[in-house]
Amino acid sequence: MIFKKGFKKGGIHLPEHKEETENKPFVNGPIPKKVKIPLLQHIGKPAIPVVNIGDKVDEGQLIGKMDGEFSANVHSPIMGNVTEIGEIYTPTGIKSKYIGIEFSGGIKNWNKINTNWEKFKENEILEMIKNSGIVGLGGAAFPSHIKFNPPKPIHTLIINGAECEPYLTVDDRIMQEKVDSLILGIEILKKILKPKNVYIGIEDNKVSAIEILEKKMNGIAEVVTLKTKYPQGGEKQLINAILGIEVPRNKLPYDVGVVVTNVGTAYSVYEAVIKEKPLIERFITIAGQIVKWPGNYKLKIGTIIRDILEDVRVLTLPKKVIIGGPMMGIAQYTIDTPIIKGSSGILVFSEEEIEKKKEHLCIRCGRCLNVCPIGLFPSLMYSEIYSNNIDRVKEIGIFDCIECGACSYICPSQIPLVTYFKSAKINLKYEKSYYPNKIPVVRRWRYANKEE
Amino acid sequence: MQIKKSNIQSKLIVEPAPHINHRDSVPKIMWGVFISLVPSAVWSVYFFGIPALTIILISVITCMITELIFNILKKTPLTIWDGSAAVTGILFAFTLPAYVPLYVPIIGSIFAIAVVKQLFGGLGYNIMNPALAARVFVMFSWPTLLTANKYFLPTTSPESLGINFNIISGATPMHLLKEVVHTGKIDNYYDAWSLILGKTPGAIGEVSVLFLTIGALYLFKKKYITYHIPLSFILTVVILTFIYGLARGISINPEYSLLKNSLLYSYLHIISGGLILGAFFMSTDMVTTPLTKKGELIVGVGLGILTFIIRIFGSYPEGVMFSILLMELVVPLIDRSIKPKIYGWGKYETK
Repeated sequence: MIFKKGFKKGGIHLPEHKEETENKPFVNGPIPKKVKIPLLQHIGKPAIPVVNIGDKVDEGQLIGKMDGEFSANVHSPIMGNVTEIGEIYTPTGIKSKYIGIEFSGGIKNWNKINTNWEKFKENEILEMIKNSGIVGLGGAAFPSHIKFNPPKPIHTLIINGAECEPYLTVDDRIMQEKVDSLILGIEILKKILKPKNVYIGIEDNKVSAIEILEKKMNGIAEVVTLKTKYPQGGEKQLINAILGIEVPRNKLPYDVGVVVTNVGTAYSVYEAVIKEKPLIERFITIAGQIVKWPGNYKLKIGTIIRDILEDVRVLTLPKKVIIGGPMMGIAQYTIDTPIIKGSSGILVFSEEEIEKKKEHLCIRCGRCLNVCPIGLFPSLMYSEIYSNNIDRVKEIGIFDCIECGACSYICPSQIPLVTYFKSAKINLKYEKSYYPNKIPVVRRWRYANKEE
Repeated sequence: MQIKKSNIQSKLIVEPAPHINHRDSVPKIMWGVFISLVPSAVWSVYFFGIPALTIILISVITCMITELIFNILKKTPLTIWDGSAAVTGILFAFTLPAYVPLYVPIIGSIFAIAVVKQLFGGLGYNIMNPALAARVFVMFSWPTLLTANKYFLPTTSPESLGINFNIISGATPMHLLKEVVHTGKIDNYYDAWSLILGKTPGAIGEVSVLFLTIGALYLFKKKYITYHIPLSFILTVVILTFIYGLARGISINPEYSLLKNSLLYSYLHIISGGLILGAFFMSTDMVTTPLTKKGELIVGVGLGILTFIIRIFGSYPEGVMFSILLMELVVPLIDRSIKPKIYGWGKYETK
């Protein structure tokens, strides 16, 4: 195919940096001696702890029960004893209760295989997904049992294999190595969602994954090769690229009859339904020049980043540790934070790799406007925020900003545009006074859970 | 070396995303523009002699010193090395004749940086191109110094440059083209090769189409400029002058047909005067162009129309400078009215 699909507006071609890990098969990480499992790893209400200090827990045992429908279950990833319950900042910068578990030895074999899954009823499958605590593994961590139970029927299911962030290669590896499981996961999703069309969107830089999928996905899903362009993996952009339609503002994809889900989520649906294994592990890319053994690892949720970095051997002192990709990932204050369900990568940068930024005045080059995938006016929004004209920013569409960071990336004046927008959103949302020259550094990419 | 538990320090740099940046920066872009102007500067020094070099150096240095003084007065971080003042300096020098007294570039440069750029708020806030505004300022301040005869005082014998002076008597190509408007024909004109290489009288930087094009190609390659403004600008001038040539029945070469003569006429309009310099280097100045591509096309067409009107019907032979300044004043209006369509707004909402 000569003409490849892509989303219509803006976008940038980023240096990919995927060569370091794209050919590294998944490796099971060691079982950590100690894990700290935050009870708020998803969008919604935090889970309620159901264990106490001193309790013995089994691998996969429920330790945090979902609080209402808009929440997700949390399970113990290891066999061990509950040693502490406290508060911790998750990698997304949200304060959350956590349960600390010390490993006591022993592993559970998840070798049950439900071959008769096709006989399950839809609500049984949804119940299994709900019980397994599955959330969207692309980064936003939206509870999956809500997403897969849309209030109105949908016509299209899109499996997101775009993985547009540089460095990250987990989705690529899942599509290459776990393709049979992925197919089962998609079949299960098809059973509960009953879409007319199923697409897998994949960027054209994942050549071997495309080859494998095109061979295996015949009759199950249509493989759509997309242009390598950031942010192709954004939900709205993917819908636009594959179907050519746009999701109206303040609406969700199911309003236009579409559900988008990540390949990692589809894989964990397979694990939940076929193996009855809850979401206690996830695939993570670990990359960075100072990492001795970069690669794709299967790690227990709740493993402390420090332990992971010791296992993969960091050659010099890390200066910046990012959870997620370089465009939307979050730089960590401390490496004593656990990884959570939504963490798709750990990037370790040394001092040399950190790009020094020197802010200049805006020269009105208009590049931010040309790369914005939403079609917003970043430089205008910036100047309105800067002149404290915050209500005007709302009119010109700041709440449509998906915070992809393309404008900040391209800006030759190196103005942290997206930081201004995140701050302005928080200010607008909570109606605090706004000081243009004292812009808070925003570490969170979401703030829906803030108590009011 | 393996990092032990004790010595992975937790002193980490925390920054908001994104953690990677595009390699372009303001100084890189500005010095890139400066470098792209060097070939034509070298040619002008070769052609006009040392006076051209003096004027270029003096205006660049004066611009940078003025910038420095304003940095100190305004207590802002030093911006002289970001290259924008140097670009203003060299562009301003490019619009001057090579044989003006040295106080003209000095005062013009001070005006460019102090009044047009810094008093409006510095880089990014100026509403007009400082170099061009300063050019207009010196033009009205010393009208006699900037007339045709200052454009060309041959330091070497004209014959060695391949120009027959008896015929053309030092008039710039634009003056000759202006005569066409009055008489409908042209007796003697520079041959295309000397126009393209730059063996004609004119301002320091505008004479050599060849070297300006080399610089422009460099800018295109670096993606510092886009084709939108230059292309629409030049195309508009070509179309309008071609139509004018047809309507007026211009005969440049009596042996040619009217169609061919009109084509030749618009071709001469492109390679004479400041059109190439203006189209590629001045009208594309990021600060004073619209943000949207559609807006840039509008500006380009507007520039073409204004240039055509001033060149044909105005009292000045050259219209590029005025048309750029006029269109720059319209840019805020264009930016206000032309906005990109936002994802999910408009027709999708009502569905």
